[in-house]
Amino acid sequence: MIAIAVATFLVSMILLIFDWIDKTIIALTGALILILFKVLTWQEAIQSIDFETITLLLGLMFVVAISQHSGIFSWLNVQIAKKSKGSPLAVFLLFSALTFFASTVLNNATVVLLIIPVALSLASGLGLNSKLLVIGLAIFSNIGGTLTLIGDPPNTLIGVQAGLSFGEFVMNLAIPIVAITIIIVGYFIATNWSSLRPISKNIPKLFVSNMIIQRICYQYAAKKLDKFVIATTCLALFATVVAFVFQPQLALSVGVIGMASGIFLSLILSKKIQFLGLIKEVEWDSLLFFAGLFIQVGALEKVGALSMIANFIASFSGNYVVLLMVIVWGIGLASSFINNIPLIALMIPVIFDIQSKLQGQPHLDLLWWALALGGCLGGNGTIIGSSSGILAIDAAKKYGIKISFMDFFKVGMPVTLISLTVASIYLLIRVYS
Amino acid sequence: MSEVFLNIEADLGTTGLLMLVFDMIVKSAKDYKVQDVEKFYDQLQELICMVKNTKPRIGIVIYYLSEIWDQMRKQKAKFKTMGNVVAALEEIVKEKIKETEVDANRLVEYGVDLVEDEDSILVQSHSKVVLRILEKAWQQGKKFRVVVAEQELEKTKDNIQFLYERKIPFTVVPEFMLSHIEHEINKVFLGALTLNNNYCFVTDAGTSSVVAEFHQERIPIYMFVVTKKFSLWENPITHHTYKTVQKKIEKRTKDILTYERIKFSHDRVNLDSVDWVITEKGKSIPKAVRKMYQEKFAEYQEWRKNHFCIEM
Repeated sequence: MIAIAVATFLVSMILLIFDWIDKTIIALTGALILILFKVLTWQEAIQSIDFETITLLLGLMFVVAISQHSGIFSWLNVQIAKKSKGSPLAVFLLFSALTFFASTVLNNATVVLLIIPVALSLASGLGLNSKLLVIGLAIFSNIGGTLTLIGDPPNTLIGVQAGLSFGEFVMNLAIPIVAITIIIVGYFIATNWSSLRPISKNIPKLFVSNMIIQRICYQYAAKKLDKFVIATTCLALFATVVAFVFQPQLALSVGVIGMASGIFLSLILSKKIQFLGLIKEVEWDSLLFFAGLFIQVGALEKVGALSMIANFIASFSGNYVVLLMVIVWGIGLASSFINNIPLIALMIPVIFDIQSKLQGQPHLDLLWWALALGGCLGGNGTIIGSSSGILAIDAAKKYGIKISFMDFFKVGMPVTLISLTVASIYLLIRVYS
Repeated sequence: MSEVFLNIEADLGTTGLLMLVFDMIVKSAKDYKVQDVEKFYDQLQELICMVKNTKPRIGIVIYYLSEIWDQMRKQKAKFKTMGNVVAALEEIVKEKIKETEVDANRLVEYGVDLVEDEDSILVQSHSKVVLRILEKAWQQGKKFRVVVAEQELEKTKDNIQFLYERKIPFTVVPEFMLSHIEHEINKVFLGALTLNNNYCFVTDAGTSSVVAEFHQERIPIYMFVVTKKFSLWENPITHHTYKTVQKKIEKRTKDILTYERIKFSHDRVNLDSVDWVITEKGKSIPKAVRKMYQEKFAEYQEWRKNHFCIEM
């Protein structure tokens, strides 16, 4: 049984790395094999699925779909285009900031897809390195997503299963994320100054940038956006974040808050946005992928494979600092090359196991933050490390910008190494403080 | 620069592009952070040089920017500060905008005279002048209907939106199905970006086949273009194409068809294949326009030498 469970998971991981077959089919086929070979009964398989995570993601997908329809991103993009006055540095900083903050509350892959078209249309006319901008946006969406429970799927998995609140995520991750963001922005500016320097002393560049900004403005003006929909969506997003912050006081699970947000917003805007259209935009394939993955991890747990991994990692527990570093760097570097969602799904029960073995050790909660920081920030290492990276590269291709594995790696890997170093320093300070 | 111009021309037409160029040249001068007048002139010249070399060259934009450059150069000696330069530039641009409006209004007036009750007018181009003619004729109480030939989706949408908002009766027919209703149409109104020295109009993509069809059926074709849009240099016959390889997923099967889809941004229409050309000077037959072009081409020999360095 243990061999079947481990082999199924490993084959699934290999297929996910090479992207030969759709990820949902891989996860569901693996789950089905485990049931057919009686590693898990049907009841056990269903019980392995964490429905709180699924409902949270489902609710947030409604919110994301409505945000897309509301035109709020078109409005924000235009404001940024105007405010930048065509300065490449301002374009880079403002779009990176928008991506960062939007990714803290919305799916970061969706955020990247909504921002890239406008950012690229400005960048191409300004002489700003378009590849750099695309890679930068993908990276800042991952960094922003790392800050909150709902920003990135690995965090959602950790938060829901470990019972960590939205507030705890922000309280524990704000310092390293702010530090990482500042250092990475500085790194980008220092290494790309030639394409980011101001254009206010160059008439041809000023002219072209002004022309492009005007085009973005008239295209936006033609969209006839509904102010009520935009205002309601903004309010709903704000209320959702507030509800997540006060989740312990409200005594509601994050899944309930996520679903409530999605359903109430759909109800209020039911006359403006067709619900059937929203249903179609939910990423059902991703939800089924999670379900399949939960079943596969459930099987590994049942056959004792996770305990073995936990025992191996806990063998470092003679030195707690080394254990933390193994998690943050091991998960971080692994996440650069393989999908971080199954990796985190696999590691959550392992961390629980390690915690039970290290009863009495102070700072045990740091294991979760090491996992979150490693899992999310590691995704920046390569083109295949995160869904936002993959989608950003696909979106850029539509604009004739081809970004190779090495193009991304040259920027992404140093950023990952810097991020993991900062994360490690933060964890060390927490251990010794 | 070429891509930016091409995109804006596709969205707003050549006149819309020109107006944006006017506004943005002034705005760029205001945003310019250097106080050295000499440096500003160098960069303005560089900008105008870039505009002259866009592909395709937009005749009317080149004409007006060259005019602006000539006037700015003449006044250069009296400018002490950048403030003086910007104020003068703003003044010159204002004059040019007025000039453009006067020409466009004349074109509209001539066009309105051509519209009669019971007319069934075919439009295809994304031409602001043609739309303004229809609007004014409708406001004057003329009873006609419009047939919109469906071309590029965005351009057709704009035409539809314009007619719909002004309650002008219209029908939309796909461009490749026009033969079925050509007997219902008695006039064709089209707009052009320019007239080249090989006596071809540069028009929206698809116009060429519309002209060929209606020329053969002897239904009068009216082409609207101001003479300032004439390209006063030699043009090689080129097409401006965008090649895109698209992946198309057919229905819900796993088969993915990959094929090359080539798009052409503009068409070329022979001057002789239209019946009438309407300029700010009035209604002319192609032969007269040919003569008008030749005279203007000869008149601009010196201008070509000054603005294109080599005689083109």
